[in-house]
Amino acid sequence: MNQPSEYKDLLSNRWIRELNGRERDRLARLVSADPKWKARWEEDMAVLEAVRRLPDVPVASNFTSRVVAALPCAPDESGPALLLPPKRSWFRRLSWAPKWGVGFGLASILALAVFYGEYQRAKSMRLVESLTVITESKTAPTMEESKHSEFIQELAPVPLEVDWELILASDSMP
Amino acid sequence: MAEEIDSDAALMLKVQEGDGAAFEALVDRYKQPVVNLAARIIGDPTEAEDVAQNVFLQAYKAAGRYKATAKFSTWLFTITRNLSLNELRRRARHPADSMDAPPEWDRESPSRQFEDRSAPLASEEVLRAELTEKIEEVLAELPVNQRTALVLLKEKGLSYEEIAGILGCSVSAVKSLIHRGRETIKKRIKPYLTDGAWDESFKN
Repeated sequence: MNQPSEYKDLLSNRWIRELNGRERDRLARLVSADPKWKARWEEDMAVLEAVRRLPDVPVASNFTSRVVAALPCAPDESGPALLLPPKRSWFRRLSWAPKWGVGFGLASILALAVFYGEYQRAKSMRLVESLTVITESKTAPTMEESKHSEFIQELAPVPLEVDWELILASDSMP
Repeated sequence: MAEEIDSDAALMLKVQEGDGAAFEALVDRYKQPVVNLAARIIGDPTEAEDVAQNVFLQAYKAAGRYKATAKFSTWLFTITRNLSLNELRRRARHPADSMDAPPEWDRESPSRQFEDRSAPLASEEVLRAELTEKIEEVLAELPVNQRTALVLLKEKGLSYEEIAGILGCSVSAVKSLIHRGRETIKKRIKPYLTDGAWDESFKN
């Protein structure tokens, strides 16, 4: 282990407990190797002691009795969860919502794309079928047919007469 | 420490059975560290008592769900941290509430005391008080996670793992927070080293 990381390791341990024999030996070796570690250790120990000696914040003498007086009759097993993280804003609390929203959105887009594709395919099929029918039925008339057509067009239109005799006869039928 | 853990857990089991005296014993045991932590997170000793009271009420209400496998102090400090952070957020949303009197350690204007070099020769006690106030001042200016980690180290000698559990981060992150906080404090109080406050008051 190099000196800075060894020092950091020892200091880190010292902040939570007394060093054990092996650690004290390591520290002694480190300090004897370079006096700068000794000065630094003394400074760090002074900070540690200063932090540890921070005075307690005054607590009212009736604090416990105030707490006890404010207690409900019995512990509430269905009480609020205590270990929940601190309250977050409503938007952050709904942080799952965008994930679901994105999922739903993508699924909807996919479904729409599939539906639209199917619709277009069906539409194309219908168009092809129609064109086929038209192509098959719209053949050019032959010379014979054209003649008949001209003949029919030249015929004078015959006024349609209502055959009242036939209608009456059919009405009187049992 | 193990005995203390067992004793806390035993008291909590009694609380679960509705033993009010057991809860009173726990409040007595933990009121000081809880108030200390709350005060140093929110930076207001007066408000800290209200937060601490709420911490114990919440702990009592949820006692039914406490599992003896969890260390009571870790559980309680987690509640304290969360409620203190809620209080900080509430103050951020309502800045008018933060215009209260300054923290008790600021009332004496300690920085001016430090600068008064013409004062008569200070006794060891005065030097110690000055240095303590300076550290308190620096501590109050640290980011909330660094501050919380340092205060938790002071209170009840929690392990890095337990502090990590309370802060909701990794052990290496806790060590890093403590290292940065410690370096900031060291840098800020270094000028007082030469005045002998270190040697007289803190060098053991």
